[in-house]
Amino acid sequence: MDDDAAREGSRGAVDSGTAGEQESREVLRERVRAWWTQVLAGQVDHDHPIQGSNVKARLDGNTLVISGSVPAEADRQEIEAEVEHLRGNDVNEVRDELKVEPRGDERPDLLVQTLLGAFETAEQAGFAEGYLQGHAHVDPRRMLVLAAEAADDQRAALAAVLPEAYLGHAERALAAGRSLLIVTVDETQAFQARELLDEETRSLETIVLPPEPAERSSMIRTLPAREEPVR
Amino acid sequence: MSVEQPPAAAGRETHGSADPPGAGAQARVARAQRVSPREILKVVGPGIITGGADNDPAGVTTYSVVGAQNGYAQNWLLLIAIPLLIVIQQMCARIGSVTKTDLASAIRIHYGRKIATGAVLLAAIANIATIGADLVMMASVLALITGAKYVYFVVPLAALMACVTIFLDYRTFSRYLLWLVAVFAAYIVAAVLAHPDWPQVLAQTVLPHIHPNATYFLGAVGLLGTTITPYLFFWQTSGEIEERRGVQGIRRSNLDIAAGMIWSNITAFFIVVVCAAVLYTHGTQIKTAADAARALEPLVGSSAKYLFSVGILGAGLLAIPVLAASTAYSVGGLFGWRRSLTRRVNNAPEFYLVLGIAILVGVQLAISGVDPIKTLFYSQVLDGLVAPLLIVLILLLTSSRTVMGDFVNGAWTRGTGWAAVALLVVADLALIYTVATSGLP
Repeated sequence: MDDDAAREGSRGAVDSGTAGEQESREVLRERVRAWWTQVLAGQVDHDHPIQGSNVKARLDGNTLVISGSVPAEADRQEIEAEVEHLRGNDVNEVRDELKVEPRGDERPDLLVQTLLGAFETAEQAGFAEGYLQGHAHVDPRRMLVLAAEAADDQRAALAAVLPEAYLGHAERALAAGRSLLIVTVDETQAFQARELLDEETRSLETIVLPPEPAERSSMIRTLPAREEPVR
Repeated sequence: MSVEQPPAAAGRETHGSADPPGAGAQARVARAQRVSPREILKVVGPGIITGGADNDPAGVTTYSVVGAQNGYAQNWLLLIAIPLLIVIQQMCARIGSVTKTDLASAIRIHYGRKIATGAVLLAAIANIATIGADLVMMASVLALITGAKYVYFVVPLAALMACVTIFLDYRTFSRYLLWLVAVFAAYIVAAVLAHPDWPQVLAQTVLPHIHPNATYFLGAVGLLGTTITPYLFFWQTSGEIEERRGVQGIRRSNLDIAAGMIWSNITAFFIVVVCAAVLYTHGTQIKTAADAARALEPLVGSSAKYLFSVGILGAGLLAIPVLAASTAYSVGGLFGWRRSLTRRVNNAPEFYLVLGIAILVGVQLAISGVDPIKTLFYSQVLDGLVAPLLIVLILLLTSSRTVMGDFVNGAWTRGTGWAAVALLVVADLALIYTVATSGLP
């Protein structure tokens, strides 16, 4: 299996994934909007779609109180932007009690980790690709979507990007009519990426390959780098 | 979305460190995560407190029974169990840090659903038996204090713990409960005041003593089962997921585990010593919670039952949610459900349903009129029978380069893990043989 086929496979998937990516970013924005609406209704049962359980919000009279912590100042600004449109309705004032606390002391850029997600359809895999790309806390280094009905040369790309031991998992999923999203992220983001695949994009099965130095990663060596996402 | 960039231009993927190309993942992480002496103290402190909590009511009772039945004869097993327990728990933590998934899920992905189902089933049976046993002991100490029948306390205690686990933030709550469990440190002082024959204690700790009879092997399997206990395997792996502790946290996690397990076994050692000195030397057997509490009399006299009760209640409140959650994590991992104690009930309904069922079945066991001390003891014997099978799976996972990459077991870890399996299997077979030939004691 050669690298050209892998790159071609990646590009083919990218073309089909663009619509899914835009759709998933819109869904993410919509989920954030819906979450704030639920906060105003006092019915928050789920965590914030991006910040998770670290951010809490409640309505105190006509004051929206936001508390908890975010990992960076940019996240705080994003939260403030999210609530801007709520002013004037039931909200007269926003009290921002958010603290900026970098999470843990893990160093990024030491290792990468590749995740293999299986989806019911190619559209769902494309949606997941866009969802990860649009999420503030995950910055995928490489992504590859492979549809169950992909051409042979695109399927052959698998052998270039996955270690042999995991090829069987991927081929079994494809044979079962599932589509795949293979994504490589910094190891420090792998928990978050897995959670997003499992819970926000409903991956049927997610397998995480062991962490490795980037230069040993078949995904990174084989596929072209991605553009920085427009957030 | 993609730019036309040749693979060679993947330069931005290089690392912030000065690591030479090709340096192993583990070496890179090790260099980045050197732990200073001050950080060691920061890590070890909570580890010691958590280690105290590893001695649940069933554990405390089992150590007490072992001391009362066999004297110091099985102290050597506790000494040997320390490195075995540390290595096994560290392997479990590493599975979570590397695979970013829990133990049941990792077994299912790499060894198939049938094997994972068997492992989860065995662990669930052992966990539920221990929940029932812990409930019995907690209710028994309340009965000891109040004079009422123990059975009246079982359901309220179970309801309290179900509420704590389901509706409160258990991990925050547990930090307060750990102080209740700290009373077990009183066994250390009690052991000194009981004036045991220290040369004999030392001799029987460093030199293995084996008495080939069913009482001895029951004690050995129970002691090993309550020390190297299956629920901790699942709990440890899930803990790494909940804390999102990746491979850069492995070194700190290892220190935390080592400190906790050493402290846990030190406490266990002194429970055995004090029970041997106070009860075994006078030929007293433990048949009730009051008998078990008597071991603390050298320290606090007639107040021993209160001190013992506080410790048992704290340990039970800590352990039962962990046992139930450990069961729910393993079943959830098997079926791929959402699972976490940090989630609300409607966000992970199946997880909490399993957790509730585990407590309910435990209640059923506790109120079925069984002998409390026997239930506690035999639940730990069951743990001892189940543990080696799970340890084999943990060893296979962590020894696989496919699963763990550069974080695969080294020779020392692998050897120690297999030694644990061998010790448990030999003890199990010896127990089965002696019980088959001479019956239960």
